[in-house]
Amino acid sequence: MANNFREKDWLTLDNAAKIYPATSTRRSPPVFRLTAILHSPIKLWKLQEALERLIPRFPYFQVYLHRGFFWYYLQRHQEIPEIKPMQHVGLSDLPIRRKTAHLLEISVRENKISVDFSHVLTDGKGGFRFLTSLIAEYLRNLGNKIKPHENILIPEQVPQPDEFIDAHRFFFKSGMPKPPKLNPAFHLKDKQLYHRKFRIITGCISTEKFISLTRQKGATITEFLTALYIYSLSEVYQDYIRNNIKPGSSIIRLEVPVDMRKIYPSVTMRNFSLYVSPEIDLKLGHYSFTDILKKVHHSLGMQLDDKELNRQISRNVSAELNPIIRIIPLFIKDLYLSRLYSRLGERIYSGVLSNLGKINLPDTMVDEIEDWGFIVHPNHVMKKSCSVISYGDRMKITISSVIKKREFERKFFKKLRTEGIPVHIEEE
Amino acid sequence: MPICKNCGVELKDGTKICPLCGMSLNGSSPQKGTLDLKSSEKEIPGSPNLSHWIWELFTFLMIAGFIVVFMVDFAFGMSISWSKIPLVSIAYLWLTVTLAVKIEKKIYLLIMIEFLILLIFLWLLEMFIAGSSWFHEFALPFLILSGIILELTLVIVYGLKLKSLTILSICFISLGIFLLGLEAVLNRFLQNRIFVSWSLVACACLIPISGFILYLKSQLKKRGKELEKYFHT
Repeated sequence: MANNFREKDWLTLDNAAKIYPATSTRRSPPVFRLTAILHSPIKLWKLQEALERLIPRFPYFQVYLHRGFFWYYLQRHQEIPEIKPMQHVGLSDLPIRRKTAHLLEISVRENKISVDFSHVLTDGKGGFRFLTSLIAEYLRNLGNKIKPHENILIPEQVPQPDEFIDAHRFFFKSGMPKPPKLNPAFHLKDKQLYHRKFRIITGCISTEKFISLTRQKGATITEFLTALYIYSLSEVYQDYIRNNIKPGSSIIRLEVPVDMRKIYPSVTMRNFSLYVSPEIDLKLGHYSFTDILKKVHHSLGMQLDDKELNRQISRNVSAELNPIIRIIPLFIKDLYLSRLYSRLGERIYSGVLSNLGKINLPDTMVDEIEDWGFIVHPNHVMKKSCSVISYGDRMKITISSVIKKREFERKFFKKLRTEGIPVHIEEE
Repeated sequence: MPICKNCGVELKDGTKICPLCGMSLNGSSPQKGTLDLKSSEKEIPGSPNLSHWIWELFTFLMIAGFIVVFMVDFAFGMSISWSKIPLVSIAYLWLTVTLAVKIEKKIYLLIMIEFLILLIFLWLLEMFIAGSSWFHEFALPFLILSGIILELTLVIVYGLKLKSLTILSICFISLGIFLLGLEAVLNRFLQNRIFVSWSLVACACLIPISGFILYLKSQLKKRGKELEKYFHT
């Protein structure tokens, strides 16, 4: 694939990315933002120099989306992505359908560097490695010595062929049974904010205190937060019942991305995440937080299994390799894929919880970086999404929302507080 | 180091306008325009001037040839007789090459002057060859026709920045018009009346071919050049 890109200047979309161009809208672009906050103001020209040196190391990111007859593909971009002034609120919508538009956007303000990535390009891990490498190169440009690290790619290295591969296809095993079909899930009901506007509330907590709480409860951080998310949604559901608002479905199900690189030995820089789907059905009765945590713990334990996750890979890649699907023209595929996304994505999930985990950097970088941020663009059907990142003793839980009401956020952080974790709220 | 009040980023010493937002560092409002942080344009090293060297050699040979022919003719009869045609030919050849070297970038002007020189050359030839009267009847209208069609074709090709198959298509149309004119000029010269017959058929064939080439080009643009990536399954 690397040779393919060097010789032919284009790349096929990876299996996970194939669905995004068809389903991307200005209201719900498949975009996430990673932000690093440094201790001192950004020296713009040094950052520009660092970017110019680094971008050839990431050729799979210097691309734009192009329509083929059967599939979209990534065409090599001749230009280096521009550094833009950071907007005060929100993420870029990364207009992936606009000709020659980059699929990542770098913006700066004061001491912050943000990169908005389209999911067509990569997932959280790939994005994180890019931003970390950019900051490392910038700091090196300022005269700092940065130790080699697994998350830092340097311009002197040649891009490895394994970084280009579509790992879904690489680890695909045919003949697997499909994952079970899921019924539509509960969704929050409220008028959406004006076009392209969304609210972001970030709760900052102590990582150490939170880890000690989760250990005490016998759960992981992701399990605890997932349970908290489901619990808060179940509280909103009960409010709807009390206020005679029809809630639609009684199933609360979350989409929790799993970094497959932790399961398979892959260094791909493109998408390689799948989902686990913990759920509760409120028609079965009332669930306390402890009940939900227990259910989520066992559910994630069952689903975080390579064989179970292989079923998803098998379903997704089999569909891509199906000869009939392959020869269907793209404009028909677009219609089919948008329906598929609705059926397998937004309709069956009540929300998304994406935990990027603990930031791991060399000491010389830790001294220069004050904080990190992570925002996932909310989907207009699920209304809210939750993204989590932790750095040092600070964990940031960001809830982005396309609706005005904040009862979910209030319940979420209130419950966290009642569990004994002090929360500091920041709002953009 | 200066700091942009709008973006809060540090800028190079001596920077007056923030390249990120366009805000002047003395506080005036942001200027419209795109970010331009790229390094200054690199100078392309000039290639050795080979064409000039060849032209100098050519000029030397032409002058030598001119002098030799002139001297041989003059030495035998103390006048110029047979050498008129080779001398004019050498002068024409030198002028043509010199103009091509000196004004190669002004293509329209070059063609116009080249046609003018050719006209003068042919007129002189007619004068030197006794009893011939082909210049006014044939050469002049033929060259004017060729010159106009060539100029117009180039104006279209360069003006519209056409490429490959589109140029071929335009050339076919030009050829069709040229053939119509050529037949008219020939018939006037040979039969003393203006009419067209076979060139109409040729033109009627060339124009649909030209249209087909344009169609083919539009198809190839979409599917030919980018065939693999466009059709990958």
